[in-house]
Amino acid sequence: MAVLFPKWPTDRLKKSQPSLDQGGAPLALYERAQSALRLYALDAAAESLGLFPGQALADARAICPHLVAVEARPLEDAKAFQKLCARFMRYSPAVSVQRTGEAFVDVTGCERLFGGEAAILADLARRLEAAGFSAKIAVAGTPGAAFAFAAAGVGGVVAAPETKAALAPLPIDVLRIDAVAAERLRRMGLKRVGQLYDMPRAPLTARFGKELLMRLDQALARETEALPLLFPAPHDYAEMRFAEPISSIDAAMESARKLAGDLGETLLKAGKGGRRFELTLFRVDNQMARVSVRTSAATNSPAHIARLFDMRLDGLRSDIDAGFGFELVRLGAFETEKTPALQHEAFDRAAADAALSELKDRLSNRLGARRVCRLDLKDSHLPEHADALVPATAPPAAAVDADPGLRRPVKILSHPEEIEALAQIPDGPPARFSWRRVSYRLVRASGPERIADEWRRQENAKPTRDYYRVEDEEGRRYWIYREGLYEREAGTPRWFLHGFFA
Amino acid sequence: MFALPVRPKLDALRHRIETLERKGAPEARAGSAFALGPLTIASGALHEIRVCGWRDAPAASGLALAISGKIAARTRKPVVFIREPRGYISIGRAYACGLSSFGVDPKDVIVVSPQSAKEALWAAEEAAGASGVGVVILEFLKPHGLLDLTATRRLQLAAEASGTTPIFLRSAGDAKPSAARTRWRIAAAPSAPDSHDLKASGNPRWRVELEKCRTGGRGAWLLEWDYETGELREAAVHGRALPEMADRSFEEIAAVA
Repeated sequence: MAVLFPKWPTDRLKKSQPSLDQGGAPLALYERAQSALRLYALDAAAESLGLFPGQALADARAICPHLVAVEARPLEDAKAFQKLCARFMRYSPAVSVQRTGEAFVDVTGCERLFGGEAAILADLARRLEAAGFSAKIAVAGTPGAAFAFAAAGVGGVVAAPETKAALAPLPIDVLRIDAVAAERLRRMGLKRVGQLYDMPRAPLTARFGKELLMRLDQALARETEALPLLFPAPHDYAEMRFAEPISSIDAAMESARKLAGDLGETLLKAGKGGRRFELTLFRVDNQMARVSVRTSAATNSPAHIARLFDMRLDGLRSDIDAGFGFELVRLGAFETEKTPALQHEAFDRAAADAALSELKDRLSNRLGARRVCRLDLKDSHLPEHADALVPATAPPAAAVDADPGLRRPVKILSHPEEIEALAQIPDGPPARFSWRRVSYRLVRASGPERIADEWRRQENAKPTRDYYRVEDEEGRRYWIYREGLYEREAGTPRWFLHGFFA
Repeated sequence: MFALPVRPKLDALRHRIETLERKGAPEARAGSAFALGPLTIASGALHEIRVCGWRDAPAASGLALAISGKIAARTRKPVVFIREPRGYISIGRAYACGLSSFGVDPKDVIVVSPQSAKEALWAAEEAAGASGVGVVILEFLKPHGLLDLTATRRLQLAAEASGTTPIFLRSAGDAKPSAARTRWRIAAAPSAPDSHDLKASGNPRWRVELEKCRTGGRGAWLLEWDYETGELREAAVHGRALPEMADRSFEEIAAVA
């Protein structure tokens, strides 16, 4: 079953801001494209006035002065769409979203529960209409065909044997090919899907690429199409049903702990560990809440999994709405991989490593992955590019060794700060400098160490720097540099403070 | 009848109280001491390094790294760096290329950037309680109400149980009591003369004072980190070492240095 929402962005906006829907004024969403404001999506009223997506906002306003224009928010559109599609799971667990506004539901085998495919279609159409969304729905043997019928507005249920005949009169655009290819096909006189049936395949592929025939074959069930699911089912999971729904977070935490024990045991027996775990709380009224945690190394330790969920759920206390209670709690393991057996007890070293990766997981899950980093050395001689903070849970990078001969500061400013420096001779080290409105008198200096920008960065290369290690009267040591070679690159030299020595 | 000598009995009782106070932390894990130049550092305990002003923070980092390097060499366990949350004078972040001069491999460093004092303290406690960690450096120069006796006691207990060594860098102006095993004060001192270039700054030197030590002992030293050998040693002023330094005060060292 394909469910298309041609007016999703405007429908969503009207639903979230009902005031826009009153008065019937045409509504348009615009986006910034190459410093111009262009129309992004239109509602039916605006479309009937002859406006089209991609048109400049100024032109549209000239045509229709009472146009209501709002800036588009594609990310919010996509998020809201996924949320809506999650509710399609009432018909089937296999829901797939590839682009915002286009959803596929595999209802094979589920139709009996609802009294046939037509009944599902009617039920969904009724619900969507009541919610105020304009949608086109079609059921067919393949996702491709269902999409084609929905897009062409044929609708209804098309049985598998009739698919080929029913597709033939439809315009070529319904095959999920890009607009440029469709336009070229039309120019060649190929306007209907049926015209492609008897065309020789090789020239079509040569002219229009593999995609055209792939889409046609997918629609005609000559080629299978695997759609990525919105909510993939976990391979390994443990679940708990409640006769009496639970409604407190503490009860959910308790069940998560219990499930972690069960799941950990299952994984351990299979010699596997998961890198991501998701706890799904199914509410009595078909809603669900999902909480997931990530680990840096595959794990099957029940205590570790339980602890991560304890922390997450504790932080989400106010965000999880139990409604009338949860009747089913499921803990699933994703991205599973083989783990060496007896990792925890075998050696002290292995135990220490496990304790360390568990610590990284706890820190990353609570503070955010970007706040828990390791220091990677990079192959660059520009001081600010010679190392980088990389999330500790990221896969390890190629090893680069530090040059022990270089004297480098222990602390570095991420952005060198400009200082006012007074030098005795123009190309020598300064005698004093002031930084952040405090003046420092320097008694010692060594250098310069000349660092030029990398040769491969020919364009916008930074000026050459002369680094000095300097020391003030009280023994504090700084790393400063002059930007630009004296009399060659820069007229007036600028000085910067870059780091601090111990 | 009362032939038992009093002394051993008393010692036994003391020992028992000590064990009880440590809430049954296994004896073997309660840290071992090692020498770092003239200093003796116990691992598995909380140490505090107080800086006289924020400009001395790099010197404090240097000492903390020197301790970390020594511990890392023995245990091959990583160093967790907990950065000060924003809102205090920023002097940047730990620089990977500068760490190796103090014996710390940048590959064995985890940098945590918390957003609040609460997060910083939580992260420090988690890290201090993890047996896979060698040293936890908590940098928090801005005096903060949360970093009090209870917080430091919790860190100390976590360290005793897991064998990690937390080092708390704080401001000398922060007068809050602390449960740290030792408390040091540090300031930068003019560096050692460079043997090749009189004008250049040589090996870094720090004025270090042991202000408080649970097991007794105080002292002040002028210490020098030798980049070549990777060792911390007492600085030789005018060509001779000053063994009597240990009895002097922080201020007197300044006069010599």
